[in-house]
Amino acid sequence: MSAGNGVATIRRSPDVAHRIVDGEAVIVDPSTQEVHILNETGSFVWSLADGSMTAGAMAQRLSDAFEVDAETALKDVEELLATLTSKKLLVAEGGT
Amino acid sequence: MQIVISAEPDSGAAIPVIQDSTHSLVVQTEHYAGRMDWEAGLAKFNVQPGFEPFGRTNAFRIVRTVLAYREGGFVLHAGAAMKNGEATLFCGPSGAGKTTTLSRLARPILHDDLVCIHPSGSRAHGLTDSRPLAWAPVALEGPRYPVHAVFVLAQGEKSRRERLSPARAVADLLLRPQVEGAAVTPDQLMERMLRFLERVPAFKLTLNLSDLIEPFLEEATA
Repeated sequence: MSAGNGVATIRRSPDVAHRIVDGEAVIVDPSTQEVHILNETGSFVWSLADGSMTAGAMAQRLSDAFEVDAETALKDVEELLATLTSKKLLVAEGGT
Repeated sequence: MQIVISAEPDSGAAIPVIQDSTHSLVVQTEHYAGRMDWEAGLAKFNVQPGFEPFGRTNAFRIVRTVLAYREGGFVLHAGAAMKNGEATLFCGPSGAGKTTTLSRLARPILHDDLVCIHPSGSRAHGLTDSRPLAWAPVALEGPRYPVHAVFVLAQGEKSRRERLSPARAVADLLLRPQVEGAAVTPDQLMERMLRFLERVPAFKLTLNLSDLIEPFLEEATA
């Protein structure tokens, strides 16, 4: 399932620990013993990943918040979601 | 909590076992077997003859590490040096220069490998497994000291020090915990480290090991 297929909603994996610290998301994956830090826009997207939003909806929020055009926002969101889902930090639900 | 260590031949299991429960923690390896009874405040270990002092050192390390987590603190894989009654911590990956840094400082060493961070957030004590041990109950508590600063070490051509953002600092510390058993979840560990970092400044210290180290430490609080 692709995180960016336009239908799937995105949520944070229940298997990771995470905090937003001074605007930066710190994510711990116990299964790999890896710690990830996201930049400001990545952290913004991470904070939206509560299972209620699609990639498109996230991109719209990103576009509004950071004043970037919709096309760029969608491309950035899809790239980030692809990376984080491949690492199993995010999970895509629903869609095809 | 007191710890009692014996040395009796034992045909115990060779498979490491750690069972953590509300009342006790059981540890069994091919080198030693132990049981920590929280209600009685007593830990008993039997170390296989021939595995001293390795087995004894590890028994102490396990008990003290588990206790630190149960008390709401955590344990860092870090060295600690003392100055003016405060501990300065040095952590980093293997080869980053922890041992070299400690050896070049004109400061008493609290511990060269493991440091307990007290739940109060900024007090530390070393996991003192090098103290003289006797075949008798030994109290586990040691003196605790405020933490002055944490330095995450790296080696480089030019020595420099930079303040770590809270996110970077907690990420670096999360790569350096010492955990025994199922004493803490990653979420709890992150929460405890963040509480600690609210009170203690953290820096990345890149060192050319031919440079003097002390000036970089002093500037940390200037």
